Amino acid sequence: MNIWPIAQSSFKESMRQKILYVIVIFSFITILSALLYKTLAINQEVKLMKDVGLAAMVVLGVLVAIFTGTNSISREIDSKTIHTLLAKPVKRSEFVLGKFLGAGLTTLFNLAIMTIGFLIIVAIVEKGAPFYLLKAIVLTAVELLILVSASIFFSTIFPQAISTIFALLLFLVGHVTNLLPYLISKAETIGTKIIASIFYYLLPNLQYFNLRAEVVNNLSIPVSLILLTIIYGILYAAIGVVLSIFVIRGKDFA
Amino acid sequence: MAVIIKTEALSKVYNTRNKNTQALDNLTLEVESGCIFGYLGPNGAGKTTTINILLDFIKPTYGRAWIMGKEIGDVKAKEKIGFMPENPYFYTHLTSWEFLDFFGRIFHLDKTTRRNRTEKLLEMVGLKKEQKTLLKNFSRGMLQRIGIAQALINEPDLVFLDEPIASLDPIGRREIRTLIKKIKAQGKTVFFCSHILSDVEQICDEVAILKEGRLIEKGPLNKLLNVKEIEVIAQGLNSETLEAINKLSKKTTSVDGNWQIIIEKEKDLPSTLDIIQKGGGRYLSVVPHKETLEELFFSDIEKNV
Ligand SMILES: Nc1ncnc2c1ncn2[C@@H]1O[C@H](COP(=O)(O)OP(=O)(O)OP(=O)(O)O)[C@@H](O)[C@H]1O
Ligand SMILES: [Mg+2]
Repeated sequence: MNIWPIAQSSFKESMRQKILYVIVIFSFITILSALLYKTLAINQEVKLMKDVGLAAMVVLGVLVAIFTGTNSISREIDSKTIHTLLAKPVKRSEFVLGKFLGAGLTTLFNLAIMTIGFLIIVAIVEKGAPFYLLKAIVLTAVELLILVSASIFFSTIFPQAISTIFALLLFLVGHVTNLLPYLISKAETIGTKIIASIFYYLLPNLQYFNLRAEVVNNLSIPVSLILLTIIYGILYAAIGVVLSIFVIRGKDFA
Repeated sequence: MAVIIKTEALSKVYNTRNKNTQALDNLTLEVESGCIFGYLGPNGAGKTTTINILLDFIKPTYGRAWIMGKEIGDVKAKEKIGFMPENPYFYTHLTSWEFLDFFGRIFHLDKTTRRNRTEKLLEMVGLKKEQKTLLKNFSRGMLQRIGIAQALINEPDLVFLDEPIASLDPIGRREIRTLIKKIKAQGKTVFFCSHILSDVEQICDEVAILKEGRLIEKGPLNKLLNVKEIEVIAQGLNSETLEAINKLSKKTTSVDGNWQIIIEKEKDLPSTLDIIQKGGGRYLSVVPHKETLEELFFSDIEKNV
């Protein structure tokens, strides 16, 4: 199996790209600014800070996921480095899996760095270890993997710019699929009805991965719910990868 | 000798928005193992397309092909194949050492083997000093060198080189020619695309010429290149003999007290030598001059307009 060396090389490539450092630095600034909320609103609870921090991590995580996802395979095809790789005993499926793993690792690594920074800050403010926040962050991680997989899939068909737009749309629509049944019932044309239904049944409901309010408000969350959500997410990510393998297998790399 | 590459009616049509290009047209070709095979043709003849099909980067529109007895698409055949692409675009984020090590891992070589081969190959292509340099800081010629090195990391039996020496300096070109001959000496096969006919002529055993996707010439170089003229150097010719010789020869000139006789037709050689001896002279040497690959190339291309 040649998946791991390819994943590692992709990861190394991302690590050597300056853009990621910019994002990491930006993340820290955002998380630190969450701290500012705390000091400004003296009577405010620490809650707001946690809200802002977690939300910022999602947004920045999504940007990294979509950027690395759409970049990983399209860069290899556009720069023709794929030729040298496919001339070796590498199956196209291994290529896609390696690229997904590499982009996934990059995204998770970035999230991990933000998490460490965030937890340290919260720990200082709360004077205790805020590990309960990890419940929300773990689900964010799974959501990001769905976005990586979707971005890769889009990039096997469309140019990078268009794939980026589609992936962003997926993120946005994925968080409002709850509203789609309402839209379907109220839709005036049959076309709108059909499109809304397709979206509703096909797209992942990304709102499932948002437990931030519950976590911040210290509501109890059953472990089984978290596990089910993780499985749901992994399933969607796997679909994206399988579809990408399918497209890449049929492709000519001239 | 075994056949290492075989194609059967291989055809490729590229459909682009405004036209269809027949890049390959019924290519049936066999390459014997153990030779340096020169694959020639003008720009756009279909050389790279052939390699792209053989390595399964693109699917042929029609036809089939086999490498080492395995039909293309079989990943296993690639264990013993080396490939250097026409445009040396490689992972710019890796150093030359990391780059070779990466491909070593793709071939599941263990750590020691990877280190030994990487070291040996970097030395061989003259990049030892650049082992810690990122490929994005390489010149084009240096990229071609590292490209050749990566093609050899698995000690392949068959190496595809698509224009491997185009951007090299004269020293580099000679080094690579020597290297290619060395690869052949190890019993390996080299499939070599090039425009530099003098290089091809120096190292290839066998050539094929492609034009507009069709094979227009193929065979061993020494059989393809016809004898253009024969040069006889002779001594002690009297005027009578010279007169007789002039009837057969294209040109007779005196060079340093000897006579240089150029005859065009091989069949005139015995009678020429006969005349020299009967007239009391003697000949010092007989040298056939073959046409160059360049001359063959142009006459083939023009014949097939
Ligand atoms: N991806 C592609 N899409 C459309 N046409 C293509 C593509 N690749 C090659 N062609 C066309 O196929 C023909 C053969 O191209 P190919 O690259 O095989 O030539 P070549 O012999 O390698 O030429 P060169 O000596 O310039 O490298 C050309 O007419 C080219 O325009
Ligand atoms: Mg070419």
